[in-house]
Amino acid sequence: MTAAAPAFQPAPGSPILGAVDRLLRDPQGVLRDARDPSEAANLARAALLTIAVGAACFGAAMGTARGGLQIAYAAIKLPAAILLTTAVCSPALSALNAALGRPTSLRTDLFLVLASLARISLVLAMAAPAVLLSVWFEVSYHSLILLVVACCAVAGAVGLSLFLRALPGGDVRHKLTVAASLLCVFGLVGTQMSWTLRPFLQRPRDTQVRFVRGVEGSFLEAVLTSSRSARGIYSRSSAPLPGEVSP
Amino acid sequence: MSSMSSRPGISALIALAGPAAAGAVIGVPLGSRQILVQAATVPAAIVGVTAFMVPALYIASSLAGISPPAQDVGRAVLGGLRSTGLLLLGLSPALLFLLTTTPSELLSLLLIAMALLGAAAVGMRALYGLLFGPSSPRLRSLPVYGGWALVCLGLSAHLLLQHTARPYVRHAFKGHASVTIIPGDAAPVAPARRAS
Repeated sequence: MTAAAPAFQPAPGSPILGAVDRLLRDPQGVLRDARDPSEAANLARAALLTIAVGAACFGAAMGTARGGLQIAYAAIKLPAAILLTTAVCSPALSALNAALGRPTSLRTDLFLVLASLARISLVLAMAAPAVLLSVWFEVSYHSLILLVVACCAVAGAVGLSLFLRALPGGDVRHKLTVAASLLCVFGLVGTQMSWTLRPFLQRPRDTQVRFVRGVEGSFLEAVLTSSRSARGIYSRSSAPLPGEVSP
Repeated sequence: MSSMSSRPGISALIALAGPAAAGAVIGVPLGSRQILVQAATVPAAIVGVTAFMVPALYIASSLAGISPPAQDVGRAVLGGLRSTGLLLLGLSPALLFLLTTTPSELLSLLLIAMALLGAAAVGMRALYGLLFGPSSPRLRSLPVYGGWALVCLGLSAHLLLQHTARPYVRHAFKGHASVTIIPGDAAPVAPARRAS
């Protein structure tokens, strides 16, 4: 069997930067190479670095809406939220594959998740200037929230497409079951993790810059409250400021 | 495919360890005693009920003319429980995070129900595949297995409602005002004593 010619020339320079470049341009090739133990460590380091830097760029862009310390806080918290969610949810992928009798390996499954998240982080890093521009043009708080959500949705779609294409095994129904289940687990844990580490974009009314707020309910409860508020049903006259007791 | 699937000892260990781990996680928000109680309750509800119902499954499928030999039924049940145990082991870290950061007991119960039902569904599906295979007549295997699965789920749900959901509801009432109104009562009652 003749070896296939490489589709592109990887960027010269450090192996880490080369691996990051390949994550962007040849992710399937990266996933194939990750099965080789000698390559796996380098590729995993590249994926982790990409997540840390890419998400930090987007976090910092969100933090410029408030400025000052919030830039640093958001730049630290967003990669932390992604990596902590990965640590908590990755066992579920291997468990799902094993429970469904699909091919599974802890290392390969973890790298698949890291590679997908690295792609997401690269898209977020790409979108960071758009958020920065919106802040400089003094777009309203709620519009900024919608822009951030849209950027995350696009990034998520890119990462999910890699994940689906790279999932091993032939049975399409099983692949879809695994993908849908993992999406559910990641969604629940990721949203709650973000809620726990909030704020990323501070409310204009909130005068104090803090690293995290106290635990107040959960993300799902906040969504229910927001949906009631959107229909004009309020349980209090205004959101409490730091130190205020909720009316 | 993992080599563990061919070793019954390890499969049995996973079948017990998964529900025990999930049970311990479920008990974490309720206190140290409940960690042990739930670590015993959840395996009892899943593994215990399934083991209790295996003779019924064998009899029903034999009467329908679709039953494999008794040893194969045992191996299939172990395989199904192993799948459930694996999934519960994998979901335990995520469940632990969600239960410890969610103040609402109702939401916690919903998350627990999703995790347990999801794991049960995967295990049931695996058991069906191992028992009957693609050549088995579906018109007979599906009703027999479906009826058996429903009874199993009903028994497990009853155990879990009594011993898992109820502590959460008690915990929810304990956390509110000192005078507690139990739904359906005419007058307020004194607050419940702390669970020992």
